[in-house]
Amino acid sequence: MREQMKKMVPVAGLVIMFLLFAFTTDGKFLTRVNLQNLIIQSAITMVAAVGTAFVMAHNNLDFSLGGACALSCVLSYLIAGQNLPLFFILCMVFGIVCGLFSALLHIKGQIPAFMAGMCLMFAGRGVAQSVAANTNMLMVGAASLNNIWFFLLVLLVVVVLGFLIFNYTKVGKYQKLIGTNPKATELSGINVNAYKTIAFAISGATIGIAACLTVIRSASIIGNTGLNLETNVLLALSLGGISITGGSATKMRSAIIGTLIFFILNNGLTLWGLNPDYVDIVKAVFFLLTVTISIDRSQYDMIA
Amino acid sequence: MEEIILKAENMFKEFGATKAVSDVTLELRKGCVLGLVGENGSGKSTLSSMIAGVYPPTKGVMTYKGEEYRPKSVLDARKAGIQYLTQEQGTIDGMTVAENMFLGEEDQMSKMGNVSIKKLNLLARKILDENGMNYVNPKAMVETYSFEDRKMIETARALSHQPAILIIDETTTALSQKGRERIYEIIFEQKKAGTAIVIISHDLDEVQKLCDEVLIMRDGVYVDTLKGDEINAHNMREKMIGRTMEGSYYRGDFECTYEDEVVLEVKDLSVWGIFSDVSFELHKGEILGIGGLSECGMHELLKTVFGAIRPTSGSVTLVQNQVALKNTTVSVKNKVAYIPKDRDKESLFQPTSIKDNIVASSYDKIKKGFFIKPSDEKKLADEQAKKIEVKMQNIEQLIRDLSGGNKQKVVIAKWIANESQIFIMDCPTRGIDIGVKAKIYKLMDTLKHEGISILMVSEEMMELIGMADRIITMKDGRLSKEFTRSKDLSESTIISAIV
Ligand SMILES: Nc1ncnc2c1ncn2[C@@H]1O[C@H](COP(=O)(O)OP(=O)(O)OP(=O)(O)O)[C@@H](O)[C@H]1O
Ligand SMILES: [Mg+2]
Repeated sequence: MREQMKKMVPVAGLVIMFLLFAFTTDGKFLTRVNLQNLIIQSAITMVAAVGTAFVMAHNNLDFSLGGACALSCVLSYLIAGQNLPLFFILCMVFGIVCGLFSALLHIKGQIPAFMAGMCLMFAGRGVAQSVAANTNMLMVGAASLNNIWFFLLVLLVVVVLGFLIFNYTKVGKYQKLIGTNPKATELSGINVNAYKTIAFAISGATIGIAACLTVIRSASIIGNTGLNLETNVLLALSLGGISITGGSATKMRSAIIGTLIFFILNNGLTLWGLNPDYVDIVKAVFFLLTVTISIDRSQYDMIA
Repeated sequence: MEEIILKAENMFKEFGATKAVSDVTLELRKGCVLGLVGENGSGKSTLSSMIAGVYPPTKGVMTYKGEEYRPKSVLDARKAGIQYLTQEQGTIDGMTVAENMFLGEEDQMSKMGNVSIKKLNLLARKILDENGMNYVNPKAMVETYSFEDRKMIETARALSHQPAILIIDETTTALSQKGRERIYEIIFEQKKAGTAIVIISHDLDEVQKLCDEVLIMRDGVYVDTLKGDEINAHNMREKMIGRTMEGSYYRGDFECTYEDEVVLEVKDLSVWGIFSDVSFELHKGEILGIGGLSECGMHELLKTVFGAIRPTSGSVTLVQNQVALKNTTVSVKNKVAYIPKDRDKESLFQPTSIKDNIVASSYDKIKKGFFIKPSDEKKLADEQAKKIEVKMQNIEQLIRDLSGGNKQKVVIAKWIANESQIFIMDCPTRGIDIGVKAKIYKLMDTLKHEGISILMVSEEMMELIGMADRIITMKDGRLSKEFTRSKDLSESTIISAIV
């Protein structure tokens, strides 16, 4: 029973917050423009969160997101220039390459994946900033796609695919088994390293998509493109009640619900006219609250 | 009669709809050994867990040393002098041996001055030495030791507190002959010191040898208490099952029967420092037993054959298609199954359902294209769980809530589900009651007659003699002798080949 209730916390939080802001912002929250903004803002984080959920399911953290996003944008721009289709394809390719790089360092180099990710985060950011300092990377052509329907379409495709792969294929199921007991997974005849690598590739692909969306939104690439993506994604997933140590408790809905909570909170507080500095403080308090209630503590049971 | 130290009256424990223990009363006396026997899932571990403070009873009163006793936690019970050696692994990976030994006692230690790691290690060293375990390093990570060593570390920890009550839950079946004898010695010493001891075991001979009194349970209910001469395997078996069991439960025949076709060839296999130059052939429809002491390398040999350990030299080949079993993925793809000895760590996905555990190796079989239909998963798991008669509410029940023997059935069901042709089994009936054991033996016999080959390591000589077509013994990492199935093969003949 308590388990059931815990599962409901993120959903309940989302509903309550939605209603709260709907009634306390003189209708500003429910305007079409605001809701469209909300979706466009959430899209980038949500897409990346869907991929990251695969990595978290097998009990790893991916810290490369922001850096990898910036790196993919810059490298793709340097090769493709204003050629939009090529630019998009390259973004995906570089995203996947970044994912594979983390996997390689983690598996062959036997270092924790989050460290490999951090190395990409700094390297990617460094490259982006140094290139942006000398080059003006405008992507005016991309702006034509900057509308709600395109964002909704991409979001729908990514979320549905992510959901299906996560719950109804070997790729998703094995991530959860690995997160639950890697030794038993190996002894069940499952190639643990191969499936971990696939998770990083998926995460990389969603970083690539997130990178495309970022460029479409701002019509340019700057040194700070994709900044804080990893923190936002991890925050969103935690708000969505994801299992921090992965395994069978990991649910794809955490990515969707968590991102929505994150951005609705942001949006509503701003509409209240709260000073942006305080918005972050409220977010922090809210984060602490939900996570304390909904986090999966089963791994501590043994010690208690 | 000795003085009663603990009395648990009219104990009940319910888990949701499951009545694990109903109205059981038990008395423990100073210096007496009480045996607790019953089939898998009869509630033995649940009853002990309540005494040991793992969880409170649904109903029931306990009196300990003349006062009402309501432990709030395991630590609480330990502080009161009640030590519980669980059936499952009781050590926590990622911590050193010493840290494991003093887990949760830091506050007591700090009363004696500050807890320095150095002191912890020294104290652990002393306790280990007192228990004849000078080969264990307190600073080493606990997971670097074998299952048996970890159990002995736990035991040493429990003893260091001079317990008033010591509960030993199916520990001996996890141990080699040597470890078992050490436990018997411990029980003997503790008995002399006035400790009240509870032993849970499926080895009825052992129960008969050690116990002053035996309490029998069936389906969570008290059946009877046997004393003195009444304690014998026949009586206990009858009361446990509620009917008499005829004859022996091993294979009925004494022929060495298998086909000429060799299915698996192991050639000059060595793992540096563990075993060397092991060669043998496994035939179609053969049960090949491997016997030895726990440290002789036989457990590692099985893992190496399965592809989970990389050999230093030598080869393992499937004869039919000349495939080398170089990793577990190749092995499972080619229908080789492996049932590890360390069930909890190496074969179960604890926080998941019975269903998820059974289908884990069968996704390739049930997937349609890229996708796996939940209804197919359910169907396969349901079929297999029912076939092997797992005692459960339904297949969505969590595996960690099953009794030990039922967990083992799930592991076997997983490999039958994916239609394995070669079974590698490491102590397959460890911690399993005689009823289930009989079923597993029958199943092995059926598998054999379907042309499936079984490679089995066992620490129970009678199991090897009772089931195997051929028995190979191992000693200090080398094959020592080979025996063919026969009526005249005796336990002592085999033991003389392994020590
Ligand atoms: N935490 C739990 N939640 C739900 N059911 C449980 C839980 N623990 C035990 N049970 C159920 O209670 C019953 C008794 O289990 P218990 O572990 O006490 O059996 P046991 O006699 O120790 O068996 P074994 O010999 O196999 O170890 C079983 O049906 C088991 O499935
Ligand atoms: Mg038990």
